[in-house]
Amino acid sequence: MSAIEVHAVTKSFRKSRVLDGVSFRVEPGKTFAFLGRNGAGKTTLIKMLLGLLKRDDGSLKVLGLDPEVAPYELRDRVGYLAEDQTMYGWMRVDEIVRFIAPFYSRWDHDLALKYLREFELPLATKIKHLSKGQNVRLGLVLALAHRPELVILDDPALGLDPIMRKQFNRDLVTHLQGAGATVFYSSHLLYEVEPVADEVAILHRGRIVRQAHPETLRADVKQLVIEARMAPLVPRDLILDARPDGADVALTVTSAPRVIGMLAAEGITSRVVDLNLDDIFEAYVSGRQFEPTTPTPELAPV
Amino acid sequence: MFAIARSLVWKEWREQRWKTIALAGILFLATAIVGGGELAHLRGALQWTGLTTLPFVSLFIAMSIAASERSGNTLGVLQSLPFPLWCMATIKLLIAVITLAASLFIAAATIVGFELFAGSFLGDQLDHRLLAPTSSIWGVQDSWTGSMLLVLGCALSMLLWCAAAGVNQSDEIRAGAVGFLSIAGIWALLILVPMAFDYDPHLVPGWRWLAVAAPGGVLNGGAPGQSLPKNWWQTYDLRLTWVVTVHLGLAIVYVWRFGRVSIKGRSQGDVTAANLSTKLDWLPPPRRSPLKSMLWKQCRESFPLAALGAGLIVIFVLIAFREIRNLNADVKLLVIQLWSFVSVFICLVAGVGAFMEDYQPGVPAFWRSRPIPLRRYFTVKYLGGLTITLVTLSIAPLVLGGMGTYLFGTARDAAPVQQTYSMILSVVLMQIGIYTAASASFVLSRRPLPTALLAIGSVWLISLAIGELVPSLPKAESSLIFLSVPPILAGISLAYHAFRNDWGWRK
Repeated sequence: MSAIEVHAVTKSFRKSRVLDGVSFRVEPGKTFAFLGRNGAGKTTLIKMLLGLLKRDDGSLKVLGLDPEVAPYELRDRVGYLAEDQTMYGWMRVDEIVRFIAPFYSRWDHDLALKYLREFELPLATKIKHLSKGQNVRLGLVLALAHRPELVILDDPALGLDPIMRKQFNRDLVTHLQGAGATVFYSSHLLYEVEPVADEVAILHRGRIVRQAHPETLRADVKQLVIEARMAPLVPRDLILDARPDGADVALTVTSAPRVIGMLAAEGITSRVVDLNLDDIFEAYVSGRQFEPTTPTPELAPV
Repeated sequence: MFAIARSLVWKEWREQRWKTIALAGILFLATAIVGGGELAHLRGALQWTGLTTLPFVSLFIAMSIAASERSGNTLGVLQSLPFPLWCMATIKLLIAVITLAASLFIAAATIVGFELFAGSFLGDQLDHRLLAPTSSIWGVQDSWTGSMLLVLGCALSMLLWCAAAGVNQSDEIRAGAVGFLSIAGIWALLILVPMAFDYDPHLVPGWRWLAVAAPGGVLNGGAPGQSLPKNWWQTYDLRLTWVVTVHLGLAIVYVWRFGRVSIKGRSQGDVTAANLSTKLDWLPPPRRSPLKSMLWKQCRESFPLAALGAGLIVIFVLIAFREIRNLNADVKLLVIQLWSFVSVFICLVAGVGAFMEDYQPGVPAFWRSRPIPLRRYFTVKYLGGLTITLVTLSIAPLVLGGMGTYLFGTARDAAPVQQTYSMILSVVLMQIGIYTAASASFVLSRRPLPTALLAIGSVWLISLAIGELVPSLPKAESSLIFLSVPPILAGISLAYHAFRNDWGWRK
């Protein structure tokens, strides 16, 4: 059984379609990076996964449960940390831990204390007096101390500085992977999840435009620098992005080995540039098409 | 620079315009009901509704201009603008004044319009049928315009005192609590000190001079029902100058203090690891059940305000101690009146505050994503908050009213038992109604001021309608309950559905 199964889910707010037939699966124990620009629909989908929003169409199962049918049972097994999540400012750290604990059937108070120690959180301090980093870490304690089977993180490190973000993501995901939990990590900053993600899905304009293992993605999407007049020889549906590079053009393409083979068959040499996931993500969500200015010969299919 | 000022005026007006219309609507509707729908009674009715509504609402507008920017996390934006904070504060204050004045003006103009339309325009005549003539110190006792200006002056006075006292508080409820406490404290002082000096004739006139500039004291010169000795400093111009000076001073205090606060105080959480090691040895055990956990939270949120209200009731009763003996007044009736006066305000604020913490920016994502059953959470929050408020507010009146004869010696205990019970029942139903209306309005609007306007408006209209119906029905107490329960249940149902389904104008 998959930890998350999403099939053809759609959601609209009035006339605006936020999710348009989104489908994917997350296998248990995997770390799934869910990527998209701001406003792409990530948080909407996460709210559906937790039963906080109703879908218009499609089906959705989380840990074998339909979030709309059994939201409380599901939330008991899921740990969730929202972006910019704030908590009751008047409570002290120890008070909010004690307040939240009884709502979870598998709350581990010793584990909570262990996390509080590891994260160096002062128990007697009011939440409104915590720094941003401490707030995020406290949110994590409250999301993890009931030993969830699935952890949903909605850009939790948004307000942290780059060093803290890096450390936070590395430590957190490594820890969760060690504990065997499934991690659903939503972000718009790919480099953060690149080292730890088992699978990546890119959401753009309400649709999943690509889902693959990071290594597969890196092998499949490359930048080819070729003479500008040769660019139209590359099938347009394989080009994600095209930018002028002096007299040449830099094409970011999918199915890169195939394209390289096609070009080689025509005797066209190309410089191949490996891309990191950030560049790949950018090409998928904001890629520009290249408009040729000079006529070019036909490319024979391989 | 001018463009920024214009933008700020536009922003403030956009935030306040619906309040103006809502407040004018409430004033006019209440006036129509109080006036019995008869054109000849509308002027007097507006005086009465204005006097009972506008100063009260002005407290909520003051809460809003004192703390809404900070509670809405928008103060940082204002601080970063290349525009002096004092100018922004001045704009906020001016728009708030316009909001109050415009609402009264719209209601009054509507009445004048009806009069003109019906061909029975009364000029500037005052209607004394519903309201006793105000003190003559301002020379406006026979002018409707003058009496309207006095109502407005009273409201503006409350606005300035509350805003100056509560400015820069972290949220509107705190600002309102600080403002209300300051106002109550000033009046307590103004009443207690002359008492302590046994109404020394050398002291009292001066004290009244102070009282005229106290919150709302402008209404009757601070000496209700008593003429003032004609001393040199009690001439019309000097007293007016004094009142204006004090209130200008309050405006300056508000304007000067506005925004002079760091957005987030120095983090006490930034303590060293060495200090932490000693603090993290032991974590108290979790609360025993979800119900106890929710109850604990609601107690912490609701009890301080209720305790404040109970304290105010005790203070007011003790202040009235001397008058009870002097006037040979009925202790129980006096206590009930004070109880109802304080509890109406406290229940309104408690109703607003019952769900306020749960709707702070970013907090709904926290509790909604937990396995917290929403129906139970709502029930505990609503009933818990209501019970805590009602019980805490009732203890002091019950003790003081029940033991009044012993406590106050010569005090009379003359009210019929049936009348006392009717009054108590009315006050309790009023408390439940206001709390429910405020809770439902807050869950829907998620902002204190619209909540207060909605709650006051709905309770006003419903209680006036009930007040019209009950005397004509047999068994008044049963009828009162019978008529009050449906709107209360409707309010609870509306609040629950809005809470469960996350309905709200501001998400």
